[in-house]
Amino acid sequence: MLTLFIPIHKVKEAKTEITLDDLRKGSDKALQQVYEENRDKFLNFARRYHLSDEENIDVYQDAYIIFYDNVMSGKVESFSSSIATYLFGIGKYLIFDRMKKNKKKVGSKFDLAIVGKDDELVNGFEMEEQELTTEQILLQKHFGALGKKCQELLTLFYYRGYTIQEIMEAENYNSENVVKAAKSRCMKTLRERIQANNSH
Amino acid sequence: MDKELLLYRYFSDQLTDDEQLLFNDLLEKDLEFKAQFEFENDLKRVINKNQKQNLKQKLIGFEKEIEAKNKSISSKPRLKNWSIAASIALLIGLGWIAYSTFSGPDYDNLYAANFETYPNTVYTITRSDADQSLERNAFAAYEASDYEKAAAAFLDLKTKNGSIHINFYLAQSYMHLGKDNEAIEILKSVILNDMEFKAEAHWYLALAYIKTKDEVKAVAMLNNLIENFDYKKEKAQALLAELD
Repeated sequence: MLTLFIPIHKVKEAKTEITLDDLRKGSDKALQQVYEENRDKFLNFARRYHLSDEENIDVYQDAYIIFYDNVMSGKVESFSSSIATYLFGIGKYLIFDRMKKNKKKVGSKFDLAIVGKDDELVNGFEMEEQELTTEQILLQKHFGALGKKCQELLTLFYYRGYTIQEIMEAENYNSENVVKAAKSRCMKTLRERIQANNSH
Repeated sequence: MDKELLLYRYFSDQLTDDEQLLFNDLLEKDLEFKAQFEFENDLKRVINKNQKQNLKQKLIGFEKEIEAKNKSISSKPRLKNWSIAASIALLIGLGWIAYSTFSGPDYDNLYAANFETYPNTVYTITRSDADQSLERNAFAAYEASDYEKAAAAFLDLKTKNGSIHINFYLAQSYMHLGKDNEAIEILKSVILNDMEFKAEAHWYLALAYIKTKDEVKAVAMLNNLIENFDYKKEKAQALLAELD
């Protein structure tokens, strides 16, 4: 479905190449290396939109989080362009959004047509962070009170998109049934606690 | 099919088309199924939110490390024995004054210290884009630092009514290839014709003038940049100070 395009300059660079797999595995080292490698490029790019340096760093981090989230959710299945290009696409969206909120005029300096052009790449990314509903806030509270093992298991399943089998392998469970049972137990505890909370 | 399994397959992204139909149907008609789905979906949202908050904290941590690194670099000259440092600085200073009085600024160094390749912000090498268009090849070569190939492709594009921004990237490629006079001519036309890269073109044109040791034009261009744009303002001011 997707054609794999590895940016050639990535190969040329002497540094260890970070692959999507490294990022997906949740390696902190990969996370930091990619953050540092793209930071200056991004800030350089963002400067033309006249936000403060602090705001630009904040936008960079938010863009990075959205990129990472889309890597995790599998929307980015292969790098079809350099990571920086993804970050620019997301960054532009966030900067314009912020300018709108600050009621700053975008001004004639910015040809909006060109914005659309490299946003093709990040089309379909979820950019807006929705507020949590009352139920979700309650769920968040009780999820945080679960045991560490439960939190990890549910995170692997719902966030990382691991299958039961992958969780078994990653966390050294003895069998898939053990994982399934553990997951059911965690969900049951969570549901019971929320019910108890509601009935008070 | 077992409802539990159906939900499992939904959340691990494994539903077949038939299962998806069944899933949609249940979601519409089976209230219990719907409630269960919403519960799990809410949980997914919550975990996602938590992960994002954790990640933000991590990034703030990385940022602090970068700040600390920068600080330690800038504070290194504070040697314990500051008098030695001071006399070394004085010697270097005197040497530098003598050197700059007699030899003028070192244009090559100034150029090298300030020239950074402008990233491709125009053309996205999209994932579904199977076409091997000229524009794609040009920017792929550019991203791969193959400026010979990029310049040739940009030139070709120019004759075939490529995007107006092509010129800016052609000039970038020329600067990399040391074709400074060609770069200068093109940057001049970018300033006149391409609003999007107007400020950037001022900066790079100033650098190209520095490279060709044309100090008067470089200074004029930098002043122009500082007066009219915010792009690279501080760097331009620093560069002006060094040229004086």
